[in-house]
Amino acid sequence: MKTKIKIISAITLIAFLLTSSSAFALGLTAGPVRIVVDVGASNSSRFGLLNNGNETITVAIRAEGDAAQFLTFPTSLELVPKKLTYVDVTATIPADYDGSLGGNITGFMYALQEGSPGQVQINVQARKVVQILVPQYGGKIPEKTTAQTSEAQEAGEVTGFAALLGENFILFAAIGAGVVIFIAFVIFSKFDISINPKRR
Amino acid sequence: MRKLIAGIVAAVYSVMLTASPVLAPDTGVTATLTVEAVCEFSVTPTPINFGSTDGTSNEQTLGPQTVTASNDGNTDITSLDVYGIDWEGTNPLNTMDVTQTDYDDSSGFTDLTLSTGTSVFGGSLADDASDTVDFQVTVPADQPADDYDQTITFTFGCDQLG
Repeated sequence: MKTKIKIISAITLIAFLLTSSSAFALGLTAGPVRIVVDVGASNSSRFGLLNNGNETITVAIRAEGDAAQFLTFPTSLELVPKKLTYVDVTATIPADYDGSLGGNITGFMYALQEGSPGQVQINVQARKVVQILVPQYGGKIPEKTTAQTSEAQEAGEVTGFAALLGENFILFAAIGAGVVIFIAFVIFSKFDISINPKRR
Repeated sequence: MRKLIAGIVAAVYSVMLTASPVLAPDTGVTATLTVEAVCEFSVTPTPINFGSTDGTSNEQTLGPQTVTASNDGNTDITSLDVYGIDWEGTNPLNTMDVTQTDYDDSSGFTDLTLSTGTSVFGGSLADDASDTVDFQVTVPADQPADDYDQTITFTFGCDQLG
């Protein structure tokens, strides 16, 4: 009887720990949401949320900042376990927009997962930067920086002597053969090795 | 259908699939799959419990209670902060200021006071990294007897603006 109680207790504890540890595991796709919108038009983009727990959860979504007034999105979303769920975001710039916020209107979107009630409840929320780019007022997708481009080029290029060897197989083979002969010469001269046919 | 594979670096991957029927020229099909860059924040244990004061009228500090924050994603968390709200008793008249809670985190931020505005907690968290934070609460000497609770919210993001 005691053994049964111990087993049941252990299973209950393991189940509790698994449930507890999976209660908070909220994921968010990287990078800002950038939406290019003409005055008097709408455009959409999206970002992903990941529930890495074991049960379906509901997150509350809200927007803050200058961009918030131009955005529409679902205010609550169910996230099934282990799968990216995308939040569709639509930006609308009214025809009478006067450009007072410029061509790069920024804001934040939040996805809030409320924690279990307790003496100290712990919530987790994901924050996504949103940029609405209005071409008529100078808004445009930023280009990659020069530094990023040159780093990528450096990573992909082989330069100098290594490149010369890579392009010239005969030179590579000749140098390799020379190294082998030199090593053989050193070994034979240092250790006085001679090759004799086997005597039967 | 899109599935996530743990430990795979975020990128666009291409693979050439070649079908070679007998007595026919080779034909190739290029398949492309995208692994999304995802930061993933988890915190445990939750909720936390400081227990009770001992019934004396002196100011008392409870805790610390340690929680572990982790990034289980495949890209860095580039912003991470925390805020709280005031402690509330079951009697709505009984409250305790949010600043009675303070915290230290293992990345070097010590003796920080919780506030209703966002405060930096570590500031970032690399992928597959974790950080521990110790919370403690100081109960004033004249605090009315009641059961109090508080909500703390961690906010994370992985946006690199450029």
